[in-house]
Amino acid sequence: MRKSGTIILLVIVALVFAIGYLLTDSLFESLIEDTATELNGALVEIDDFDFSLAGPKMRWQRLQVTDPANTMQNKIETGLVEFNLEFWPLLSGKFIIENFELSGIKTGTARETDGAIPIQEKEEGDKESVISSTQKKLNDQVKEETGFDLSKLSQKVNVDSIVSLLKLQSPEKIDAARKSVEQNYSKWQEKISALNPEKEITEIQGQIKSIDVKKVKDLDSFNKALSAIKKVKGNIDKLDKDYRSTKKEFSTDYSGASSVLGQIDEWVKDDYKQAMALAKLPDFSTQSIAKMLFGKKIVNQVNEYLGYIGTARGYLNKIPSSKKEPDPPRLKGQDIYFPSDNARPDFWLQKMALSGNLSQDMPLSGTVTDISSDPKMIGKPVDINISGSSKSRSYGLAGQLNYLDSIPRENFSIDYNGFAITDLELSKSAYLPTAIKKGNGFIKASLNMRGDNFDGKIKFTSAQVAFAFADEKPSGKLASIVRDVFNGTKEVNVDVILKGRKDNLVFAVKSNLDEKLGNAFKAAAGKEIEQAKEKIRKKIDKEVAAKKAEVEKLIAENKKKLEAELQKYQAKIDAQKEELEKKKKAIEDEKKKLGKKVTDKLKGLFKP
Amino acid sequence: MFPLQFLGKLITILHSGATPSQIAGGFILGMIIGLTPFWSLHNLLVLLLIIILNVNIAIAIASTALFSLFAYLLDPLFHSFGYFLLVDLSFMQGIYMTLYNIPIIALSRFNNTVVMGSLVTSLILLIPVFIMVKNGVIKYRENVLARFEKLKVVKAIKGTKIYGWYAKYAEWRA
Repeated sequence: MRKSGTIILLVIVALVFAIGYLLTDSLFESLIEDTATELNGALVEIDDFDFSLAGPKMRWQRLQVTDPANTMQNKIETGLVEFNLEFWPLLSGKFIIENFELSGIKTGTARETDGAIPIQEKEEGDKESVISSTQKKLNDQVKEETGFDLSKLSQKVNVDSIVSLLKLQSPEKIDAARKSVEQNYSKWQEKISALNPEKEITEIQGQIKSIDVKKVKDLDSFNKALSAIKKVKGNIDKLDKDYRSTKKEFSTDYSGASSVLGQIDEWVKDDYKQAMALAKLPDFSTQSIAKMLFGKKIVNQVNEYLGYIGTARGYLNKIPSSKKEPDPPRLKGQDIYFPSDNARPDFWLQKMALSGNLSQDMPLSGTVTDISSDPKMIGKPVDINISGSSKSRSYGLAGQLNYLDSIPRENFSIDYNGFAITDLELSKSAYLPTAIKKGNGFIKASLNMRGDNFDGKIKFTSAQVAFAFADEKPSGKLASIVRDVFNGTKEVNVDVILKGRKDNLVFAVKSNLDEKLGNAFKAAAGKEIEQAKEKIRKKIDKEVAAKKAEVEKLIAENKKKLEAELQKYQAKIDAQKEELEKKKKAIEDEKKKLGKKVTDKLKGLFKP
Repeated sequence: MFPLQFLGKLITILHSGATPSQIAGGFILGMIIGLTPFWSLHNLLVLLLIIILNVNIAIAIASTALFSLFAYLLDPLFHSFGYFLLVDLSFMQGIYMTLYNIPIIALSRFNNTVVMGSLVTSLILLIPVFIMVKNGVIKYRENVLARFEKLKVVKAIKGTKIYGWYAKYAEWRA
């Protein structure tokens, strides 16, 4: 036993306790701040954090959660917060909080400093989650609409320059089709020539000639002639059958060749579409206007909720499994968990009671229960219930994050009625309103997720609306029409649908402004746009019409020639048929004469 | 540079007044710290033992450095061995579950594959390595050190005044 060592040890222990006592608060504070900042995507700050082993309890004077969308503003700010932790679980590294009261919550408070954090680049190989890819897709959908530039409505479209830039696909395709038609013609010509029946017809002619009617003098010779006729008839019928079958085949094949004309029309249509895309002529579909006006705002809101779901799911994925990791980082290993029936998760906030004010001094209160690092272990989903009302306004948020089964499920529903709208930002267009200056709003929204499937609906209604524009006075005819539409609108209804899977996502926005605006735009600029479209169409038609006509003509001519050829041979066969019929008739006449002679002879024999 | 320094340190220790048991004790305690991940609860206990017990601290430090290298190289083996101990030994599951739910023990990270694998390995090696090192030191001192002391050059150096002062200083330090 080393005496000096024991003394050194006691000194070290005393030092560790002293430093621990002095630094625990700062260590805990920075640990919580860093974790929360990472989750929030913007700075989270705690003032005067205090951790005491007596209790044990934690408290802080102020909590500021920066709004990631506006880093000079706090999304949430709280006053004094104090809560107790369970002691024994702490010694196992578990944070179990029974009751957590968060009072004096304020939203949208101004920050003294910027709460932005440097954007963290994703590590290579990081898998994109369902949530993040959906958020990206939604952002892309709204981004696409920014290409819808209303100023284009008042611009002249230079059709010639568009057509010169355009690389038409149909002429080349028509040329290829023409070659194919020519090849087809050659193929049939060869086939028909190969079937030339001259030789057979000559043979048949000889066979018919060899049947001599004068030789029919008795019944025996009559029978012989008749069987010769039957034989020739069989040959003619076979020839006729072959020709009819070839003719049928030809007619089927050539009707296929005629379908090339239908294809040409499709190619021309494609060229027309390409020209429209190049000209960027606006589409007056109501979707584009509604998306442009409200899309970004809605997408930001939806993405915020998806972000919460993504964070929750991200933590869910971190719940370790006992399956062996093949290659964990060096010296890190893999943790194996041995939870018992009564085990508790590493973190469990059993009940969080919230109270405070939503913007515009509306009191709200509610609870969030069972936030835990392992929901399956506690067997309970996270339940969120927050509500508040004041005079004619009311707010209600209910949600559940259920990770008890193998498929994660989340649902949120929000009812926010009668809130005052002031300066609600819309678009940055020079023509459309930049914001709703004032009005009363009503929102009813729901978002349900089950694994990769989304089903969300948002209904936003606002009454007594007044819009704000970038410029005081409208510049130009179009701007003044748009302004008239908005000034004459006092109620706005927006319906949003978000459903499907990440790879087949439907995001649709409809609004009562759509039809009004669409009609106004059509009235103002629709005629010019339609004229430009017509001009482009004519230009394309002109380029391809001659080629198309050539192919049409070629098909018709070839068909005619080949049909004439087939008809010529058919006529020869028919002539032989006729000749044979004549012969047959002559033989039958001879038979009749022969019959009369025999009868006369018999009558003479029996005369008295 | 490191092997030469380590060798130099080792020779100095072997030539010092420390007993073979003190050297072997320091060596095996340093081996535990070196082989297992440093920030583990059991290493705090090992550190306390190094400070309290009369083992050679210098050799413990040198041993920690040496076995840290081995630990890095053997990490995949420790992971596999730890996984086998924690998961594949089904009869141990009840004990692990009990330990896992005992406060403080849970903080020991015994449920980590590398911690478990390396700790059990070092515990298995503990006694053989202690005996080996102790015998090695004894043999070295009997054979090599005795011959070294008999060298004329050494005797000449030891006869100088400077060495006398150094010997007194070393005695005082000890």
